[in-house]
Amino acid sequence: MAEELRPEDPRLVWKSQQLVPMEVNMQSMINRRTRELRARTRTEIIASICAALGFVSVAGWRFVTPGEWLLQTALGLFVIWTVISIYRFRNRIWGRDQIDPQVLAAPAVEHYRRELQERRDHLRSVWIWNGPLLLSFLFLILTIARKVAPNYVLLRNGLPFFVLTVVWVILMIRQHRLQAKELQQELDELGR
Amino acid sequence: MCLAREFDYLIVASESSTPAALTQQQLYDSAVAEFGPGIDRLACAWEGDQEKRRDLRQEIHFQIWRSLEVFDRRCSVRTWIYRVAHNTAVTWVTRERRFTASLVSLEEAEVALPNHSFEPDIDRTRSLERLSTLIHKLKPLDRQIMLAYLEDIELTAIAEITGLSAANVSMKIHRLKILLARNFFEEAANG
Repeated sequence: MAEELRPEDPRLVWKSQQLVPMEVNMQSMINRRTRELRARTRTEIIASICAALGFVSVAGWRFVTPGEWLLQTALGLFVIWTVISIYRFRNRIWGRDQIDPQVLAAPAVEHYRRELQERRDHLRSVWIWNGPLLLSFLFLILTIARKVAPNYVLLRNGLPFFVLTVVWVILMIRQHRLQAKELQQELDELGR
Repeated sequence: MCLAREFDYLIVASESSTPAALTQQQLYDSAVAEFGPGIDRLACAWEGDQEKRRDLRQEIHFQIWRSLEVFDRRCSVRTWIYRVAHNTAVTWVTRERRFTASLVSLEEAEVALPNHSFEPDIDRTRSLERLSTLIHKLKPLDRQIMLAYLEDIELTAIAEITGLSAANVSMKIHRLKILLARNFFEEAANG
């Protein structure tokens, strides 16, 4: 606009405001996002293992009695899965996943792309989300249901808990799928 | 030639004379050189807290950099930059759940906000505070128009940035001029 602005004109006041200088360092921004992705992934792995352990512990401690070999076998399998998970993700859990210097020396964009791919794969991981965790949850639900079924009143009182828990699981799966889809879109954009 | 047009000229020239268009980084560096201060002022208008404002500014710059990878020249670079910046700020504030029922549109502000009749204020700091207070009361779309107006962006460009019709933007600019006049000086209402 070519018009002469008066000293008190809001446009002049607005454009002449003092700004705190901020260095824009794209590399450091990308690195920060990368660290945030890794921290979030680590938290979710730990939460997944702890949740499954929680389900199985409650079921095994309160509802599985000696002689129920099917339930005891299932309990044993989940314990084995937990141990394998802890071993398999031990570096991520304990924050010892040091990145190879050669990988670190890659351009920031390449590194960020790699992190996005890992994060996407983590969200799609059957081992962490869709398999044993869901099964341990089902195990808990069925065990509880089996015990309370003869007592109609208990079953009725427990129904809201079952329904809410199922809804929570469905929402969790859906949220992970949406996040994975968003990451894929971001990866597709980076890849162009 | 004004710098914004020169920037677009660089893109056109590169397309016609060289095989490869400007890289993402080149586009980003040029955008920051031209629009950096405007982007920083935009962040001030969306985030009052200084610490969070720094984060918002970084977020805007990051999103601009990302978006330039897929810049397809459907609009001018300035329009693209300001769209990304505004949308990033809106998302930021939305996720922080900062929007409250007390935000008003330009139309509502004409009626609802107190009618201050200030003398022209030679103290820029106080003027800026009043202006910022006014801006922070506006709803997102009207805030976007106000900021574009304050940055001296022409009406057609504001329409392109916001996606509104030129007539709609013109009406809103008329209202915001009245609003600014009531808060700053009398004659601006006739401008």
